[in-house]
Amino acid sequence: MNERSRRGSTVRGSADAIIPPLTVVVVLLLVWQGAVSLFAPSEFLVPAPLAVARAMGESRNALLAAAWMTGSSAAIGFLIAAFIGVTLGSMLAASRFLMRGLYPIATLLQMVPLVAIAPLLVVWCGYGVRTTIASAVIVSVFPVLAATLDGMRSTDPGLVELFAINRASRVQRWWKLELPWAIPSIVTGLRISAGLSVIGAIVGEFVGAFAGDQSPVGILIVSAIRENRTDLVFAAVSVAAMVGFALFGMVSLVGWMLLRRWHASAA
Amino acid sequence: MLQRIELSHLGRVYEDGCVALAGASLELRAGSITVLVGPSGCGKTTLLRLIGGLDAPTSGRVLFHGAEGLLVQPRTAFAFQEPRLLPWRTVLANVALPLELAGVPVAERAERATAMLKRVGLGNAARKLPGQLSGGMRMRASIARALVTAPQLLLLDEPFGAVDEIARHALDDLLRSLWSELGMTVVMVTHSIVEATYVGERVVVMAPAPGRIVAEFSPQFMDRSSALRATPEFAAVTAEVLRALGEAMVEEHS
Repeated sequence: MNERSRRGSTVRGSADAIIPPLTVVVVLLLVWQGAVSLFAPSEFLVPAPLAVARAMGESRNALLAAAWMTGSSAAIGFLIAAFIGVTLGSMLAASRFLMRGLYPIATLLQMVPLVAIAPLLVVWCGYGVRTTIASAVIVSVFPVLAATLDGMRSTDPGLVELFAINRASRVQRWWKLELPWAIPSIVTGLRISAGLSVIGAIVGEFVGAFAGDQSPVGILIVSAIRENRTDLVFAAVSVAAMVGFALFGMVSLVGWMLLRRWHASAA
Repeated sequence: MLQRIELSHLGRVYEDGCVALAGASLELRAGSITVLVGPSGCGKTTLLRLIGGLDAPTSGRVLFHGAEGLLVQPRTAFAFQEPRLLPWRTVLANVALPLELAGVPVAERAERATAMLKRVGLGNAARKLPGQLSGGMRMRASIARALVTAPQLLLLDEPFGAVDEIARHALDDLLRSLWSELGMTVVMVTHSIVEATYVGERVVVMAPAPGRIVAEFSPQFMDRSSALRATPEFAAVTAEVLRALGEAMVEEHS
């Protein structure tokens, strides 16, 4: 394949990936706008997309500041969760005893609803960004841990034997074989965690953040509901979704860069 | 310097009671090339793994120059039916892996791996990834990786079983040429009688249930070039090996 046809197929591939979802979004917005115009419900119940867009425009500074605050809390929480998840996953994969002892507990903790323990985070971490980050970490750590563990445990036994034949140390085996082998699985876990970290950050903000000159998305939503500004709630939710999408996109990009040369999932 | 490998009444019985190998005895001269041939389940891979220390016998011993144990285990390298290359590493980095794991300095391992790649005809593929190579090229890379540590003993488990026949002939020639140049002891497992007869200066025929050695041949050919496979003398030796194998199988069924 020459350079021009390769570039052509890349452009076609990008268009194939973007056009269908974009079409669906545009159609849904049109249907939504049409339904609101036709049935004219109270704006408090369902604002029209154009009203949401107007609220976005009017509150753009507050929304941008909220996106930055929530996004940075989610990103920091996500990075901490990624570190903890990969480290714990590696330890569990290395030790059958640890896996049998800790994995069921980790699974059980994952079942505890975050909203139920969020008030405790305020008790432990106090009001402010630490609670938000802790909430993001708690909700996004498990997918990375599980993906790391699964990825490492599925290492090709033939390659494990190859390393044993060459008398590789345990650390060499982890660094040069198990970790790279698990990267496709870890990237999948990180993609899931990226979206979850934004949810965790917002739940943390609901209980542990406070309003100031600038408020995070969670506080903005609570304030808008108190003021019966459903259009602003929708605008804030859209911004939160965009923050999640941006994090997801960044993780996908890093994953693609790591895997594009050798793994089918990045083709 | 590896001098002699002696397999003394080697047996391997698995936990489920399956007798993979029963009382195999064999003496391998240093610098020889021996091929174990037989049908599936005859214990040839088990025998190879016992020689290489990847498995322990339930009876008998493997002696290196009259002694046994890790201290006398020669520098050993393996190549398997699957090339077992790391897909995220370049071919050069794959070939250099055993040196890297042994702590050889970067410059030295790059030099040795490059030289070995050139020797197996992959000089131009050093920067490629395994996924960009054909099956035959991957096997060459696997052989290069096995030889990069200059092993005294090279153990090959059906290394060319997954490649097409033409590529296999070329790989057989490459193997013989590397063996005569580097002088290591080679033990190879195959289920192809033609390959065994062509490659081996000694052909050990094995039969299943239980896995055992049933015959040995030492094919003497004046010239081992590709044309040999089409000669009547080659056909006669392969027929003898086939007959020995057939007789063993008849014994097993009767």
